[in-house]
Amino acid sequence: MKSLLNNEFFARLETLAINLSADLRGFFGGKHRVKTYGQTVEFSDYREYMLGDDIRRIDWNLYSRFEKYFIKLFTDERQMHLQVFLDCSASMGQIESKKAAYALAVGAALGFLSVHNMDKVSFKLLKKSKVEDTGGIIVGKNNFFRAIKALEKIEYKSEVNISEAIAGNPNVGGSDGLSVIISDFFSENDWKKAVDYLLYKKRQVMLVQVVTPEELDPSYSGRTTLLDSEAGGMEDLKNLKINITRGLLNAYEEALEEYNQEIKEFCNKRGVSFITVSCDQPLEQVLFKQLLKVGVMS
Amino acid sequence: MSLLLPLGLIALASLAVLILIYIIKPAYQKRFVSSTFIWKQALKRKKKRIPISRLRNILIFLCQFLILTTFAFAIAQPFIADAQSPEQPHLIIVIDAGVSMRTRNMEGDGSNALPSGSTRFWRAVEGFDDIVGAREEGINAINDGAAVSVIIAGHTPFSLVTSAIATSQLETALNSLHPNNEIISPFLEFGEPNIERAMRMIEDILTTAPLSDIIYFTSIDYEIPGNVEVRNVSNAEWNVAILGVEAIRVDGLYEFHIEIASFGRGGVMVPISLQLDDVNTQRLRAGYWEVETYTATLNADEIYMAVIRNFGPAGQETVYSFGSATVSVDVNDSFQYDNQFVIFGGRREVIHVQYVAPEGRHHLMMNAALIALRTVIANQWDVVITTSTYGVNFEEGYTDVYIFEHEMPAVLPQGGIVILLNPGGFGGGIEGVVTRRMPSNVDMELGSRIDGGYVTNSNPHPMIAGMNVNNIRFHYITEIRHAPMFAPIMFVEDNPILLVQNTLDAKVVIMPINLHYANFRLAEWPSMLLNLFEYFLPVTLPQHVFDVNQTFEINPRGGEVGIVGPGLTVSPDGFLQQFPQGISMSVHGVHTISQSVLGRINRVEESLFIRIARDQSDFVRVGDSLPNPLFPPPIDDLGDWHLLIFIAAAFVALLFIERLLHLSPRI
Repeated sequence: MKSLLNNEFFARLETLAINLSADLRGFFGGKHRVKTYGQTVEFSDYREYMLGDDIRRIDWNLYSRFEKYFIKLFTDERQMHLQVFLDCSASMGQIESKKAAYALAVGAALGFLSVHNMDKVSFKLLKKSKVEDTGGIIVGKNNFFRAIKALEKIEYKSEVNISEAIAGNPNVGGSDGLSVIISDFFSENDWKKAVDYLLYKKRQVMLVQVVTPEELDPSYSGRTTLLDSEAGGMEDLKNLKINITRGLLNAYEEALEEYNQEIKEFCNKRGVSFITVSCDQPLEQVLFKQLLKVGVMS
Repeated sequence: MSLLLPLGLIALASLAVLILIYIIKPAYQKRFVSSTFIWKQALKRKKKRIPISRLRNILIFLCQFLILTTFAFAIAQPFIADAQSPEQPHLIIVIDAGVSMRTRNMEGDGSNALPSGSTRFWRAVEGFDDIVGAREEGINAINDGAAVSVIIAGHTPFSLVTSAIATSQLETALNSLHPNNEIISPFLEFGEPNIERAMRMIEDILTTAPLSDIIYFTSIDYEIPGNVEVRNVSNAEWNVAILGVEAIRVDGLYEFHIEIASFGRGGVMVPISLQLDDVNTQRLRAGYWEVETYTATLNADEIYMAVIRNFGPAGQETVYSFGSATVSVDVNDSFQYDNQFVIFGGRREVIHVQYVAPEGRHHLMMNAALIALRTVIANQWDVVITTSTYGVNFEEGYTDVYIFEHEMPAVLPQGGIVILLNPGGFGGGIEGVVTRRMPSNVDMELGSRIDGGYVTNSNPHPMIAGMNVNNIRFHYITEIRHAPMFAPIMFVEDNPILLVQNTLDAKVVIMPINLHYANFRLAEWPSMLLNLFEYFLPVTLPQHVFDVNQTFEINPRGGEVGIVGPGLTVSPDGFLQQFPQGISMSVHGVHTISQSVLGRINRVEESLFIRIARDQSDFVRVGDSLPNPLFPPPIDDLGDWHLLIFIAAAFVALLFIERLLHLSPRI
């Protein structure tokens, strides 16, 4: 697998930052402004003095004008926690290694932006019905690059139940950041429960669907046995014995479009960001166009 | 299980088409994909959009559908309805046309008696007429538009009418049975009805009309009539029948045993007349004949055996030879066809054998073999043996078999079978004595005497039947260089030692050996002579009494065979050419076979008597069980079809299991 994660790529990312919701709480020490008032130097508002407030923060100029005590409020900046859930099922990498590399690159790009902005990152691998937390919480670029090296050795195999894996994970955090699920979402399992679960935990959620050009526009036709990469064997019912005709290809195109539309509607209703990326798209295009477009990046 | 239309199996050729479809169908290519999730969604969409297109992907299902449909139709036994459907009433009438159906009462005394009343066959036809006219209660099939088939059951049954619906068609058939109201129908025969064959014919009708009613008009009852309604049309008739006559030789004299019975009436005084022709003839009193009358009182239905041995007013005459014996009874019974019986064979034909050899050179073994032969065939032929010397007391003519040894005649005698032994004239001091070798009219070239040996090979031939010829050794033989008209039978090396010519004009046997220089085993030479007699003088008839329509074999010994009699008259020119041949007579009575035999000026004649079958004379006979046609099984009685239904059900189950396992989850 040729890695997309090189120095040139990361150098370009340094100009970007992840744009997160201001409702998040986060931890102290980050760069993300939040609605709460903090100790930064940037003025935000005034309010009347209340018993117990620090008298050093009283604005005496206003006292001279109104003869009332007002104290200055300043914006707060917090450190966020980016969780990247990477689908490690066979469909993501067993047949098309490019798809796996691309998914990893998207995750790594988001992770780099986070550590670059003093945020925390953790990469969580979705395997079967569990989440495998590799590298723990990453802070700082050195740690990040070490973790990326390790992620390049991921094995993609078997089927993944995204809902069970995420819902069963005790460390999904609270309202302290963004959770990104990177998958093709071509699964009969109900992955939507995972999204609802993350929202319940007050996480900002983003879905990244990675597909190959072949999946967007199949090039084969005729009597074909389609062997599913997640199938257990030749007799597995995931395999299909079909005659691919022009009509069926049209139906495929429509089915794919309908499925993606359904995901979009689902996400829109919940304020979840959703993008679909194709492996043949330049990664920069994804980051600088699609993510900017949905507002995740600024 | 049988097939209504076996040609329908040609449809199995469609299996070849099915196999072809499977052969030309391209194989599935395999493609690995990340996920088939969207493909399944696409199939669902397509299925919703065009449900019929689903069938295109399930060729196997279509084939199985067709097979099951065919199977179901096979179980249903489809057929193309003929003129009528099986539900339509059908009546099959079988009328016995055997000789007993000729029975008709007589009126008057003695020779003045005349037949009166109707025959049984007439009454059967009247019964048929009643049904056609629907005058009979219980038979309303005609009014219901039923079809009627009529089979006349003679020796060779035939359909008079098949599935007739129109009354006019049946009336025409009725009229044909008794054209111009003749009492004796032209369809009546003298033999027995072949009822089994008639029932087989009915089976053909039953295939299309399985619910037919069958009525059999005959003259006897059956203990087990089965599904056939038997209507006995006999009507208190009685019959005195000569069932058989046999001439038995006791101490050289003939006794005549006469089997006679009165069926249907007892206490009948029956004058039995025995008339003999050519009694004690041949060499004593030619043309003499005797008539003996014997009166017997017969009880009803009992077989009486009359034995006549002595003749003449004082009973002093005896019979040791007769040409024919005619037994007759003069009674006015209802059935006259068995009132006379004729037997032949009481006289043996005389065969003259002349053994010709030089003076004092007649071979003892030849003489002994001829005497033994005469004894063996005494029952068939009366063999008269004479010995002679050519040029001294040899007499040509009146001889059936000539045997020339050592010295050959100047020309072959005209007529008769000629055996030429040692035509080379060698051995035992014969050389020099014999000057004449081969007759001038025999196309054969003899060579010199050469050393012989054991018989090395032979061609299959009746003359050496039953003999182990390889044990016979000839020390010397005469070489035969040219014999185009003769068939060689036995050989020593390549030299023929037994040659035969058997044509209508010439019957010649040549053996270029000297019996003095031959090692025959004791019985082999007489055996060869017996084979020779049986080959050239076969028994023309195995016996002289046969039933009507009984097939027997004739094997004449001459040519231009002709036969004359009430049942068959064939001129020699148009008669049988291949023998032995089976022949049968359809009319009772005396028949005479004649043939031209070499050495006989007049044609040789031999007579035989065709008698009425005993069963047809027996008026009180009750049949055991009437042969019944095989009725097709009723529609609700599936019989063997249970198995087929089970297979069909299993087939359906397999079909749906396959659908559940393989197809349904994928779409």
